[in-house]
This record gives sequence, C-alpha cells and structure tokens, in this order.
Amino acid sequence: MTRLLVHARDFRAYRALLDLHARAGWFRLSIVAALPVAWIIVANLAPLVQMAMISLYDRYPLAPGTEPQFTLRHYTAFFGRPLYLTAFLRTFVFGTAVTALTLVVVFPIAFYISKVAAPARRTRLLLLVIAPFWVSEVIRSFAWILMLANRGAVNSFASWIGLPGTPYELLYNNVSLTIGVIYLTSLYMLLPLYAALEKIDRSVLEAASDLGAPGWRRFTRIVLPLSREGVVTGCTLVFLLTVGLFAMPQLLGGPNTTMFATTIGQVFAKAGDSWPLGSAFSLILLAAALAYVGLFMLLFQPRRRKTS
Amino acid sequence: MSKTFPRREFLKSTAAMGAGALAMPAFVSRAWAASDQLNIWAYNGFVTEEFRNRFEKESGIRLNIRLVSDQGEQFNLLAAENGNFSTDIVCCAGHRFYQFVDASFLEPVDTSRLSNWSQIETEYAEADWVSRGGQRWGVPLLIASMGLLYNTETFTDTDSWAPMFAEENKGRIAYQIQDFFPIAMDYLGFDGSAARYRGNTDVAQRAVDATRDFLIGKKPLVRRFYDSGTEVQQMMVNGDIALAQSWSGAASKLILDGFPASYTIPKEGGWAFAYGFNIVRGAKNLDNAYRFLDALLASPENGAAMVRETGYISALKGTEALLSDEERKVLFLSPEHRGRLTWVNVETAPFIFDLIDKAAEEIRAA
Repeated sequence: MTRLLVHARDFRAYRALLDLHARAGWFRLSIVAALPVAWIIVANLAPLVQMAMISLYDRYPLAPGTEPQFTLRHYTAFFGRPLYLTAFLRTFVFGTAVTALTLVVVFPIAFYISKVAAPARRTRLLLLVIAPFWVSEVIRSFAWILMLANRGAVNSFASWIGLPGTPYELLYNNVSLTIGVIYLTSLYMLLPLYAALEKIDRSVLEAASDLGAPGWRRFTRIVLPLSREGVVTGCTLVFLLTVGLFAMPQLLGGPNTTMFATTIGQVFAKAGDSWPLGSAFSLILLAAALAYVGLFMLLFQPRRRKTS
Repeated sequence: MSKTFPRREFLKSTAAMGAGALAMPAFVSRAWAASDQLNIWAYNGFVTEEFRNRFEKESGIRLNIRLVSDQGEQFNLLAAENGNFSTDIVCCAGHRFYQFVDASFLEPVDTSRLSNWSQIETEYAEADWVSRGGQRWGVPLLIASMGLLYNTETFTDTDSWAPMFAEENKGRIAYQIQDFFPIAMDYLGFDGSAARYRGNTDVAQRAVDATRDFLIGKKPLVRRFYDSGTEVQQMMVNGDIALAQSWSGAASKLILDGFPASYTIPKEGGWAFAYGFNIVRGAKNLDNAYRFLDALLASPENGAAMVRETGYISALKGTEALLSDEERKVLFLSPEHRGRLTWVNVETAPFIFDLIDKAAEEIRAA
C-alpha cells in the first residue's frame, strides 16, 4: 500500500490534490464528508422527499398526459377513519411492550457476556448470539411457524409429555408475534448494551461488594445508571425497528395483531391509485415514531455535564 | 520512468464513465427489446417448464419469466416503470384487469394475429370479462372459482358458508378478505356483484359498511387473513385451520396431494373468474408475444400441463379428456355446484371493488 502511495506521487494530479488537501481545511472536510452526505441525500432523503410529494398528489400513478392535482385529503383520511387509528395505536403499544420485554430478556445476556464470561470467550459468545442474524427475517419467521403451529415442534412436545388441552394456539396471535419480534430485534439491543456494560470498571462493582452492597443494590445503583446510554440506544433502535416491521407481522401475526406498517403495506400492494394514501400514512408513522423516540430520549438520555 | 496522467485525460475518462452510467438504462432497455427475447410476468405454473423448453427450442425466443404473487404487485411494478415497461406480457385476473386497462397499462389483443384463438372454449373466448370499451384485452387461459375448503377429518359434508361464522369454529377459520367480502355480502342478502346497486353509490356503500361491520364482529373467530394460496395449504397441513374460503387451485392441489379435504361451492353461492395473459402497452417484443400466445393455445396438452401445475381448470378445448379420472373428479365441479357460481361483473367491478378494498383495509386494521 505504501509503495502504491509513493508511486501515486508520480502523477501530477495526485500531487495537486495532496497540496490542496494540505492547504485547505474546507477541502479536507468536504473529502471526508462527501460520500456519507451524498449517501444520506440519495438513499435516505430523496425517497422521503419523493414520498412527501406523492402524498400530496390527488392520485398516483398519473394517467399519461395528466398533471397532478395537490390535496391534503390523504392526511385527513387517517383522522377521518377511526379504524386506522386503532392499528396505529396498537403499533405504538406493541412497540413499547416489545421494547421493554426485549430489554428484560437481553440485559442478562449482555451482562453475562461483558462482565461474567472470561474475556477470551466474549468474542465467541457474541458470535454465537449474532449467528442467527445471518439468516433472513423471512426464513426465521418460517422457522417459528414450524415451531409454533398446531402440529409444530412445541405442540408436539407438549402433547408427547401429556400436557392437557393441546394443541395450544401459539401461532397467528400476540404470542407468536412477540416471540418473533424479540428474536428479530434482540441483536440491536444486545450490541449497545454490551458496549455500555463493558465500559463499567469491574473494580467499582468489587468495591461495592466489599462494602456490603447486595446484588440488587449493585445493579440499581451502579450497573443500571452506568449502562443507561446503552439502554436508551438499544430501546430506540428496537422500538423504531418494531414499529416499521412488515414481513414478520404478516407471517406470524393474526387478525387482531395488524400493525400500522402492515396496513400501509396493504394500501401500497393494492392495484389502483393508492400510493398517495400509503405515502401519507408512511409519513405520519415516521413523524409519530420519531416524536415518540425523541420524547423518550429527552426523558431518559443521560445529560452530559458541561466542561468549563 | 515517471508516468503522468494529464488532467484533460482524467476529465475525459470521467466524462466517458459518467456518460456510460447515464446511458445504462438505454442499454438495458435495448436488451428488453432484443428480437430473440420475450419478457413475461406470470404466476408460478402458468408457463410450465416443459412448454418453456419446447417453445424456446422451436422458436429461438428466450423467455425471461419473472414470477409474481398478485395483481397489486404487477400493477405497482408497471406504475413504477411509468410507461417504459420491462415486460411484454402480464398475467391479469379477469375481475381485476379493468384496473390495468384504465391505467393504460395494456394493449388490446388483436385476435386475428392468433391463429389458434378458436382453441379457446367459446364461452370463455366470448366472455365479457376480457372485453372493455369494445376491445378484447387478454387471452383467457385458466378458470378459477372461490369456494369453501374444509378438512374432512374435522367436518362432515357442509353445503353452506354458515360454519365460517359459527362460534364453535373459533380459531379454525381463514380467508382472504377482498375475495371473501362479496361472498359475505351474498351470505347476508346483499349483492356482492353490485349489479343491483348500479348507479346508486349510497345503497352500495351501506351494503359494504354493513358487511364490513359484520366481518369485524366475527373477527375473533378468524385464525388468519391470508394472502396467497400456499398459505392456506400450509395452514391446513399444519392443523392451524380446518375451513377456509379458498381458490380452487390451492384446494385442488391440496386434495390431489392426498390431504383429507373437500372443496365445495356452498348453496349461498361462490365466485368465478379467469386468469389470462395480457400484452402491455408498447410491448417491445410484440411479435414474440403473439408467437408465444399462439403456441400456448395450439395444443390441449399445454392446457393440461397448466392444470396439473396450478390446480385450475383450463380454458382450452379438449383439455378435460387428457386428465385422469381422479384429476377430473377433484378439479371439475358438478353442474349443480357450477350453477352456483357468479362471474364477476366487469361493468360494476370498478365501482364495487373500490368500496370493498377500503373496507378490507379497515377490517384488517380494526
């Protein structure tokens, strides 16, 4: 690599670039920022702008030779039909509950890997937890269908050991959806938690123990406050992922677990001029989810002390 | 030896690369329009492997087939392509093709270019569900019905839709909302075809609202709203459901595979529609599209192969004679049951389906 860079200095254009780079701070900044900024504009903002425009069209796709008429009726449709609000509120309640459950399930795992397991085994344990995420969401959903169906592994086992009332209805309801979503999003909770917990100095925990603090007190007074940033980041990621889920609620959910993202998906999937309505609903969901998360971060994000 | 890379050359190379990237859609577009190609969007089993190999060998035309899962997917893909379509042929259902026609996605079919058009059963070739505005918009190939599928180990013979709304079957029921909705309207004494409501939106809206509220009230009985035929098969096999509104194709395949189930058209009625191939507007390989469609219509063997792949009935003459007794028994309805079927009314379909689609979203969201 070094030889390549040395060789590159033979080119006048490269030398000119290096000179400019050395002289101008703005140039250095623009080189570093150019690719990420371009990516954000092209991949993230442009589709949103396009969606915002379509949401204001009277109809889309436009018939050949016609001009779009602008309207707000697709936004008012959301408030005009209370049944949409049901799915919308269900999404936020479900997202909040699943985020809390994911935190409860994943926290002990993150704590074990970061604080209890031997340092040499930590990478292997993390890999073990990450491994299922190499398989797609849809395939993992089908795996859960095989597990939870009336003739699936769980019911077969329950029946085999003689439990009464089998088969249990475990699929196409909140049970299957909650299990599936926790399984799907746990990695996004684990990694921020692991990063936060690993930073906690072991000697602080040992000192508290030496001074007689029982386990629960060490947890509430040291571990939880010091890992708060990881908790907030993990919860934010899991919540935003959960409210936007489409495939898994479609595969594992039932008639009474319809999430708002599924409703949006159905609107878009319909043959007809339904894109403006779907776009308006998508933007409403995006704005509400960001506001909800913003409020959460405002309340729970640890404040950084100002340094003089 | 020192090498230099003059700025002008650098700019020239960059410009050439940029122009190449910008011109890429044109190259791709030309590939779509290659004379020995034909691009088709079709459901699984509509172009059998055997036919595809034979056609490609005999005609020298390569078939590029993209499998699709429903009408909405095809509609939205065409909408996104905004007139520069990457396919030549799509696969529309008879009761939904009007949306494609009204969106200017399709080209009328010139039957004089299809020498084998007469091989289609007359009742399907002349049917009004391939016509709109005085023109013919598709080549009908497979005939589907919507009826009641039930597990014969759980249910004795049933001749009514009533078990789909019975408390004792809670958690064992599944249906596809949009397709079941007209059936539920008929069951409640309304007119699912909307022929009675022609021009009277308020009356139709009241009928749709009443049916919607009825289905929302019965929602706790439903195990799942499904979207594809394979889902209903899978739920039956897994023992998650015991009865469902089903398309005849999914039901027939399940029964022919040996699953203990039966498929019937209940006394309150069922619905029939056809699938066909349609040519998109401005198809880049129009001649190849006609050659393909004519070859498909040429022999009842092609129809029989499609029937075995999909479980639907073929619209081609002479297909029935090529099927086994068992296949005929499962696939074909008795005259009595056939008489209970209603064909989707193409004139009222746009009007009623608009109302039903909105109601379906609300049922799902409720």
